[in-house]
This record gives sequence, C-alpha cells and structure tokens, in this order.
Amino acid sequence: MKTKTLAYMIALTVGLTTSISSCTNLEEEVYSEVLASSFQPTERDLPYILAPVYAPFRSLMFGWQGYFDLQEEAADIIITPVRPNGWDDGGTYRRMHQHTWTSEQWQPTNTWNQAFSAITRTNMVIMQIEDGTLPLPAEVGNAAIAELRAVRALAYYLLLDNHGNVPIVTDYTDVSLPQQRTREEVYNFIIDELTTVLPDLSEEVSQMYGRMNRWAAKALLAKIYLNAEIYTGTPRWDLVIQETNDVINSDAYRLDANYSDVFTYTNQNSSEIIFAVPYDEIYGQGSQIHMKTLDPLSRLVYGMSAGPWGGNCAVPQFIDTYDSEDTRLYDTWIQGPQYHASTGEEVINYVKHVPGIGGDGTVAPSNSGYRIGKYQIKQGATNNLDNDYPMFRYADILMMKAEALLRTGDANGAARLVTEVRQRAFKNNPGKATVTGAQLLQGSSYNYGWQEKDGSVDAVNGGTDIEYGRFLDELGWEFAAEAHRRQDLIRFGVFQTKTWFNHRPHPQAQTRTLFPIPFAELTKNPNLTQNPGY
Amino acid sequence: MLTASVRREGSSTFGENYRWGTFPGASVAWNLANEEFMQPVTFVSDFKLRAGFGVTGTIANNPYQSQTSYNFTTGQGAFINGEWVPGFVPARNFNPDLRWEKKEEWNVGLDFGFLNNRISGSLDYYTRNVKDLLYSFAVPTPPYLYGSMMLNAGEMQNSGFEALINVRAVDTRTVRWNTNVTFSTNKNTLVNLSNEQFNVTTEFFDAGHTGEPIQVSTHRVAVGRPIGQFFVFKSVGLDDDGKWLVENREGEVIPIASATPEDRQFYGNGIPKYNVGWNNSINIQRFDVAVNFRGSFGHQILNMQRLYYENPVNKAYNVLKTAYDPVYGKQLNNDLVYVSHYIEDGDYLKIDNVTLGYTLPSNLIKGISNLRIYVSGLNLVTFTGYKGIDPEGVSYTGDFTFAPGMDHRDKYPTTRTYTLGLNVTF
Repeated sequence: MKTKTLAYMIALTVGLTTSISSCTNLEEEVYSEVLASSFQPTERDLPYILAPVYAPFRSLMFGWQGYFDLQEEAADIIITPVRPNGWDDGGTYRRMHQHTWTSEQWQPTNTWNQAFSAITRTNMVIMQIEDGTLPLPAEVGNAAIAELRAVRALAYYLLLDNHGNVPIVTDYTDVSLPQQRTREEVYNFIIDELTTVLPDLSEEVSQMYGRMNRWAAKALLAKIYLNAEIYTGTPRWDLVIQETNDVINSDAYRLDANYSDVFTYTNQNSSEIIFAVPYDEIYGQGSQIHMKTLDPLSRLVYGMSAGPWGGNCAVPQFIDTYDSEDTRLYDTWIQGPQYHASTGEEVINYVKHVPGIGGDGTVAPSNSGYRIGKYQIKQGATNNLDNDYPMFRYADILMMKAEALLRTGDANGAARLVTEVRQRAFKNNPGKATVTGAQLLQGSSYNYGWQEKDGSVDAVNGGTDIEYGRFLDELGWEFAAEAHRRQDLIRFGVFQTKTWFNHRPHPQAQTRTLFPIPFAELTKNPNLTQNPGY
Repeated sequence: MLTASVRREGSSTFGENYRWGTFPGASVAWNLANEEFMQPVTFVSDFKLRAGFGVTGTIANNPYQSQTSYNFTTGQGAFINGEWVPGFVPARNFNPDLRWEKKEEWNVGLDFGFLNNRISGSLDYYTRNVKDLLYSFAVPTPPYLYGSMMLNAGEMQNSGFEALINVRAVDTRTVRWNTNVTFSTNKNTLVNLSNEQFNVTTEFFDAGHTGEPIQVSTHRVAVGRPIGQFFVFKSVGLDDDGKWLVENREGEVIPIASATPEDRQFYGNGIPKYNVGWNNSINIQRFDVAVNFRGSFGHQILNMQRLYYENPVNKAYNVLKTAYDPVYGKQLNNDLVYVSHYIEDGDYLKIDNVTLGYTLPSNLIKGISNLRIYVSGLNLVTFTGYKGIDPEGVSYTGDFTFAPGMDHRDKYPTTRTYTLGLNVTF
C-alpha cells in the first residue's frame, strides 16, 4: 500500500513539474553582424574585403603608444618628458628613452598585435580567394593575392625589424601553436615572398595609392636590404642600389617642390609618396600625433574643437644640429610664439630647452620643447588628423641609394643624391644645399652626451667618431618624426653606444636593438622563447 | 520524500551542435522528527536530513559567441581605389563548438529545530564541479586573429559549508529577542585547464588588469591552485635609492630593475575564506531594535588607490597623504609598479545596520491604525586593518570570477546612510 502511494506521488510530482518550453527554434536572426552563411561576396566586394588588411596599419603607426613612439622615443630626436599636466604614466616614456623596457612594455606589444592582426587578416582573405569563397577571375585573383602577400611581407618586415625572432604563419585554417623562427629565416621569407609576387603587382600609381604596388614592394625590398647586415650579418648594398634604381627609373615618382608638400592634410596628391598609410578625420581615424605633441593652449592657435594633451617634443641636442637656414627645421618643428587664430594674441611660446625626462622630480614646463609640426595641422582640426603617413617616399629612395653608394666607396655619387634632396630645404641660400663626398665621410655634428637640467651637456662624447655620421645627420634632418630614427641609429651603431639627453647606453645595449617578445604571447604559446637579454 | 526533475534547455548562443543541454536533478529528504521512534525525544521538534544532486547549465552571457560572422564597419575600412570604403572583418575568433558550462552539485544538509523551534537552523555541505568552464580565454596571436575568445576549457571544483542558527533567546510578552548567526566557507580549485582543439596547453591563465598606466595583469589562475590568487612581484624592501627590492623566483632579493615577469609569485587571495553574519532583532514593549553585524575573513585586497596614489615620484600628481610616509623605513622613489606592498589583509567586521523604532499606541490619533517612528543607520562602523576606504566596497564586478579582491582606483565609494522614518497605516 505504502509503495503504491509513493508511486502515485512520484507520478503526480512528475506531472506537476513537467513544462514544455514554448520556444525551441534557436535559429538566430542576426541584424548586427553578417553571418558566414549569408556572406557571399563577389568581385565587386573586393575593396571591402581588402580594406581590413590595411586598416591595422593606422593604429599600428600613429595609434596610442604605437609604432611611431616605438621608433622615435627609443631614439635621439623625440622625448615625452613629465609635464605639469601628467605624462609620467608609470614611467613608460622614461623606459622608452632609457631602453629599460620589459616584455610587458606596451609599445612593442602594440606593434606585435597590430602587425599580426594585418598578417592574420591577409591569410584569411588569401584563403577566401583560394577556396572560392570570394570568386574572382584568374587575373584579378592573382593580382589580389600578390598584393595581399606584399602587405603581409610589409607587416612581417615590421616584426623582423622590431622583434626579430617571430613565428611565420601563412595558413589561416591552421590554428596549431606556431613555431618561432630566427630573424634570418624571417628575413629570407620576406625576401622570397616579395621577389615572387613582384611580377604580378600593379605598376599603377594613383589608383594604388595607400596600397602595395610594385614600387612600394621595391621600396620595401630596398629598406630590408639596407638593414640586411643588422638582420643577417651580411650587407646587401648592391641590392639596395638595384631596387632603388628600379624605382628611380620607373619615373613614377619625383620629389615634391616643397618639403612641406609631402605632409599636408591633402598629401594624397603628393608626387613623392610611394606607400602611405592613409588617414582621414572621419573615415580613417587614428592619427593623433598633434594631440600628443601640442600643449592644450595650442588649441586656440588652430581653432581646434578638441584640446590637445601636451606631451612629446624635440630633444634640444638634435635641434642644435640643424643649419639655421635649413627650412626643414621650421617645417618639422613648431617653435617660438604661437598666436590665437582669431585675436592674434600670443598664447604660448615653445622654447627649445627641456630640463629632463622626469622621474627624479624634474617637471618640464608646458611650453618646453619644440613640437612636431611636420604633419600640417589644419584650422579647425579635430582629434584625428587627415594627413597620410608616408612610409616610403621618393626622398627615402634617393637617400637609401646614397647610403649604399657611400658605404661602397662612391662618396661623390652619394653626395649628388643628398644634394638633390637638400635643394628644396635651402631655397634662401642655394649654395648651402650642396654637400661633397668628403663631407659625407665626416662624423656627426650631434653633441652626444648627458643633458643637465640647465641645458648644458656633460660627459660629452660627441658624434665625430661615428662612421658616416654626417650622413646620419642628413637622415635625421630629412626624416625626423617619420618613425625612421631607431632603425637608422642601430645601423650607424649609435643606438647601442651613445648618450643623449637623459639616456645612457643600457648595460646590455646590444640586446636592446631587438624588443622583447610580448610577455602575454610567451605565456600563451610555449613554443616561443624570449629574445636574448630579457 | 523524493523529488526528481529533468530539464532540457536550449540556447542560441552556442554552436550548432551544442545548443541543447539536459540537466537532471534529484533530492531526497527524511524528517526524523516525524518518525515514531523519535516521538519520545520531545525537545526535538524538527530534524530533517537532506541530500541532493543536480546539474545546471550556464550560458554564454553575450549572444552570437559561436557565430561565424563578420562586422561591416568603417573603423576597419581603408582608402581603396581613391575612396574610403568600410571593411568586412571577422567579428571574433570563430568557435562553432561553444557549449553549455555544466555545474554538477552534490549537497547534504540538515534542518533542525529544538525546544519547539526556539532553536532552529540548518547546516549544508556542498561540492560543485564546474565542467566545460565558459570563459573568454586568452589565445595566442598568431595564429588567432583576436587575443581572446569564448571557450569551454577546464574544470573547477568548489566545496563549501554553510550554517544558519536561529535562536529566540528571549521570548516573553513584553521582551522578545531574536538572534541568528550565519557562517559560510568555500574552497575552490582549478582542476584542469584544457581544450585540445584550441590549444589551451598552458597550465595557467592570467586575469584581472591594473589598467593604465601600469598595464599588467593582477591574478593568475593555475591548475591545482585555488581561484583568486594574486600574482605579483613580492616586495621585501627598498634600496638606498628608494627603488623596490623584490624576491626573485629563487627567493633571492634583487632590485626590481633586474626582475623579469617570471619572478612574480602567488601572493594572497581575493576570496574570503569565511563569511559571518549576526543579526538581532529586539522588541521591548513598544520599542524595536535591530542590529546586524557582518564580516569576512581570511582574504587579501589589492588597494589600487594606494597602488596609484601612494607614490611621490611625480610631485605634480595628486597623491595620498601617505605617499611620503616611509616604506620599510625609507623614502619610496620608484615608478608606479604592481608589487605586493599594495596587497593588504582584507579582514573586517562591520556593524552594518542599526535600527531603533517606536510604535505609538494604536488609535492614539483618530483614523490612523498604526504609527511607527524609526531611525536607522546603514554601514555604521567597520573594524578592519585595511587602509582603503572600505574593505567591503571592493569591486566584484566585471572580471570578478577570476580576479576578485580588487579595490579599484576609480570606484564610487560606499556610503554611510542615516534614515529617519515614519511608517503610517491608515
């Protein structure tokens, strides 16, 4: 009897608690995203599929603590000192300046992340073309794949230069943990890729603006050969000359009439730019270079809607190397009194002197240090600049060839090219534009040494002992604030050996020529080992 | 008494093949007090033994996590063929195998009442096994496009004990005092962390973040270890220049400048070992009094206000008064850095709520049947050695599952509230 009751109770309980959900259809109607099932692109969609491959270069270059900071703040032209309104930020700018970064330093991590983002996106699009997800006519498909492989090579070049020993991943579907490759293997991979795709790359110039065409690939090859000795131990000056000659003989590019033309907010029209990372204040945001460099008061000078943050500026010792008649000094740096856009009142006066990087109680006054004015700031600028970043430009081609000539014994040939580049900078005194081979064989005029708070320089060891130091100075004047300097300093042996501003050579200086593999990646991928010295 | 249930639930957040989950549950209970052999034991009014087993599922908290889909956005566009175009980008790392997280729970319990329920309460012990743990795990880039993705990886074990005791301590017509005590303790361990498909091969993952400008993770969750452990440079002193001295992985004291991230170690845990509560309500004639205590013990807190503001290096910044206090007998002169110096014991006991009320005799005022005046205070007194504003105000939101015990720099502080009130019934 009792068991029966229990059975009834169970039946009753089951009966009472069973409820059938009214909703069993789990197919989602997704409005905010495009599902793979409805992603059926055609040839017309190619631009929209190529675009995300280039997009990461915007934040990579001029993004917050991006590649620009990585190249410039580790070098001897630009610093971010502690200011009255901040800019200590846990010592991050000081670590960049003094080469005391760790594997958790954010700037090299950002470059890793953004470069690999571009690489993985490229791998995905190549797969989509190859497996027919994106059906393209053979010719279009080949050109697209060539371009994509060139973009991927560009991203790998940035990693080659900064992190050196990185994994090489080319297959989007393979998500096994990648193996680490040596710097030399990465170098060989990039060279192979670029030389393989060159014949399929477009020779078009204006349609291919902001994209990898054949000349951009050749400029990239020249850049890699220029630093081949650093990457592999074997110099390739002959190949630098060969690749730059191809670009020069193509007649596709020429120097702009004025130095400043290369950097205006309409510089997509420049005839000098071979490969740019285009920016736009609305559609291609990410260039906040003016926000980081200008003092908040400069807002009034440019009628800006946003107040700039006031951080980085020029190292005074570098400013001292300029010839006062070199107009690049004024085209590159905002200096002296600045006037209100409408009233004409002086609002701030930028002075050359910067007392120190900070961290020892030194605070640089808000007007100290010349500011980066190279990328022309338009009236009413927002917090995103329109100016495109010229990664490769014709002057760079000429200077790469000149350096290769200089280092292979043709100083006079080098001097002719350097003179050609200098001419537009000395229009007021054309005689000064000319340099001789003998001059290029001299040392640097940079007064390397420790800068005291009052601006005096102690522990001077100067630049006269730097081989081809004068040529390094030429690179500085032409390419200051273009994210070139770290690489150039390493090639001329200055990065590892010299003292400037509040930087002394790191005790393990040679290891600082490579950045560490990001700590987060080391923990996620046990196949990776840290670069030496970290 | 036996109850059993089976639930079958579906969620569209999961992958095509893993949307539906089956979740059984069963429990038995036996009230001994109702049995004949217990009748002679008159002081026992209630004595119920309980046991249960159940499986429940947890769903991903954001939709579309398993969808292979693309965003179409200007932010990922570029300048192509002379015009700005938006771009198609994968919305996330694709994971079509995302599935339910399953919690298997065993519990045994006892409900009791003695002396006509004048003393009553319950004791509970549970173990909970969380399988196919759902979390946004960090994945390597390359080969993945994004550095983290929603994954089922690993197994976590929880066990705990909870007790509640209710006593009607004084129970006369004019004076009544009810008091209850609660106690709970919990222990958890990450049993394993693996998802072969997604190469989660490391034995740990890092969680929590200091935010800018220090920019490092704060916690490490490792296999075989409890959840909630801080992972940090263990500071042991300052050198003559005021720079931190830390312990390296061999236990030697080294300057922080030569420490590498591998020298960090486990230091403290953000999850309280014990939580206690003591609630009292007293009625003396027309007066009523309520006093509640609450406390948590055996845990540590990362004091992020001190981490960021107790540093005198940049004199132009806002700092705490204590920024110039000696640290290990010396003046600190080190950039902001995440070291164990800022991790403190978080033990506290709080007088949380005190209410004093007086009910006027009914019909004193015509038409009003009941009138009570009261005054109460919330968050009144905290007994603690913690230096921050409130050890209880510690954020448990966001990444709290794996990064508990962070007293955020920019939090909204807890408040102390006084209320003067009137309850009126017409």
